Amino acid sequence: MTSSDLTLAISSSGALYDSTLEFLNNCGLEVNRPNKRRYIGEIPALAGVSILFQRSADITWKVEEGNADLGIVGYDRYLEFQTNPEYTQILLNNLGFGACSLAFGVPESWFDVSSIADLAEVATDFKRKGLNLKIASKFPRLTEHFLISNSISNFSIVPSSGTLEIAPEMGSADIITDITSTGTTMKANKLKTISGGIILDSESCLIVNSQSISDQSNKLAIINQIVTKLQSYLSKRVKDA
Amino acid sequence: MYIHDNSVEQSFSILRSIVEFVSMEKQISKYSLPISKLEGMFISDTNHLNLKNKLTNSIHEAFSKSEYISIDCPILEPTELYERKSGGEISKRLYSFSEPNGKKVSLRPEFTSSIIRILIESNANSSSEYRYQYFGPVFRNQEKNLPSSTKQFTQLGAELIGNNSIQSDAEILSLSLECISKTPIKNLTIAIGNVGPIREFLGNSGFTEALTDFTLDNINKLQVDDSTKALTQKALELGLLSKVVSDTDSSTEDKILKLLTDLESKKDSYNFGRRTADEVAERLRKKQINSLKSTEYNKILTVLLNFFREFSKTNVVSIKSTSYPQELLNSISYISNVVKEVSIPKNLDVTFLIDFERNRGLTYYTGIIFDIETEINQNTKTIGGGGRYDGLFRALGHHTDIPAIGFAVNIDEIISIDRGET
Repeated sequence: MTSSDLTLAISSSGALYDSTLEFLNNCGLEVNRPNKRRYIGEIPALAGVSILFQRSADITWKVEEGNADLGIVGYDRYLEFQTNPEYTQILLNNLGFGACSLAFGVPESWFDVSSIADLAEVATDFKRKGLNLKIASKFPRLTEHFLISNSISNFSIVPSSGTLEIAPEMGSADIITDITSTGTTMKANKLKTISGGIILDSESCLIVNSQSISDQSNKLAIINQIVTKLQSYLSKRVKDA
Repeated sequence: MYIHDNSVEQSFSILRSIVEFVSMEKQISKYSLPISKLEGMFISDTNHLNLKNKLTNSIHEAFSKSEYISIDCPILEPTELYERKSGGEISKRLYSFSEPNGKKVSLRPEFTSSIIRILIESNANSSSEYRYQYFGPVFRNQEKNLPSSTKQFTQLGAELIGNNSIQSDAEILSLSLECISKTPIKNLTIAIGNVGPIREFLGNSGFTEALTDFTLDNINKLQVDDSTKALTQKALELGLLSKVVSDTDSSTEDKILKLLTDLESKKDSYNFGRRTADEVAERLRKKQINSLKSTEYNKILTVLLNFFREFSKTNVVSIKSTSYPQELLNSISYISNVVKEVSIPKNLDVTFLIDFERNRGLTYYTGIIFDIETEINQNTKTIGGGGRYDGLFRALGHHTDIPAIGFAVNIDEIISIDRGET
């Protein structure tokens, strides 16, 4: 890796790791990672590109800070962890993998709560008791924005990073918001989703640091090649489907 | 061929060096730049500081004569104190961070919550009256860095606790005018609304508290030409209105009855968190009775919107009786009665305007709510405001409601106006 290489940050582990590698492979950009402990890799078919393996939650700010020029990240994490919106933009969204939703999970025992409006009323009931509805979430910013834009204000968010589905049962929060694709984990933890309670539908997207590459024509040329390859795979897949 | 390739390689190499040089320059300049003041933080020069001291001293003396006791509060408070007062909405305007033990704390964005908390801790007596005055820096993050917006400013204000009479509303309004009379600002508009009777009207019309909050929060966002249908549609999507299509459709009712039976049979095996099985059952029963239909909602919304539009920005004394529901008319007659009791300092020219188009605090205030405005170069500047907040004691954990009303002004803004800086 040299300082003039274009750097693409991707997930180093977890659900998005395998799917990102498979996606790049399908686009003709197979990634070579010497071993799983090494955090830098390359794309043999495309010179001048370094792959930076990062935790999914760190990719957005790595690109914002200019440590990476490009990143493949979940749309949910991009919106949640963005701190300087003017430094990054989405080059391609809906890359066709990593689909999930950020949704509310409320205790199954709350028979009276089946919609966001019910939740608003429960939050008001809590306020009358001198309490705030406590919401455990790994996505405090998106959760807060959603609630406020739906005129619900009596809540506080308990930022969590671990297994938050258990938070209501343990008493550290009343409800949660979390990533779900089928709702199975929520159900196993005696939680249910509610009508109108989807905060965001998300897929993986390609983001770019527009500042770091603005005066570097070599990087721009490589980005062009990458985007062309990704686009051609995506449009071919649409046709095949 | 070789030579040609080589020259291309050379060109790229040069280009690369330039790019690297530029990026190195960027790196160097990044570290050698002086550290500038944070955007929006306030620096008082000597003149500003002298004016501020003079002004706060003279206001302090005047307030003391009216038996308002000085109080100071911590600059750093638990974040939950502010979230309980104004809800999560305030959290994006708070400067918050975590203590080493993980507790979330915030710089104060206002004084009221701390004062009420202090009273709760000292076992405030609900039959006593408390009068407090305060001043000091507050911190509010702004979503957008507007040129004139400051994130740190000096707030000066007063709270009257334990009285919900018309005279106490007038007392706080009079005090706010006395405060301004000590400043160089002489022309004022008090834009005043009254939320209590409007809440009562909506409650009497079958609105749940959540639907009332939703309506008050969104009604002022409707532009003049907007139809109320969009808001009705949003309320329907959120589940705030009944989805029952016709009067004969009883599917919702049947569903609720089944849920009640299920709840009764399984309640011992469920964890209800900080709620109880009885609370859940009670809300289920309420849902059975209270479900406003979208046509009824749209009708009431139209009445309210017309009322707001007809009376907003009208002079308080010029209101005549009309055909609106009594609660709505009461909201205006109450304002008129308060204004009649207000003492206006001789050196001030004050206009009182009815104004329901407040974009702040409609869900937090419970009675009158007012902004103190002045005209500078044909621009309206809000220099302070206040209102009645009878629900705050309970929201902060007190066992009963204690009525309270207060106001605050931005002293730095007033000085900047005087010095022609805005």
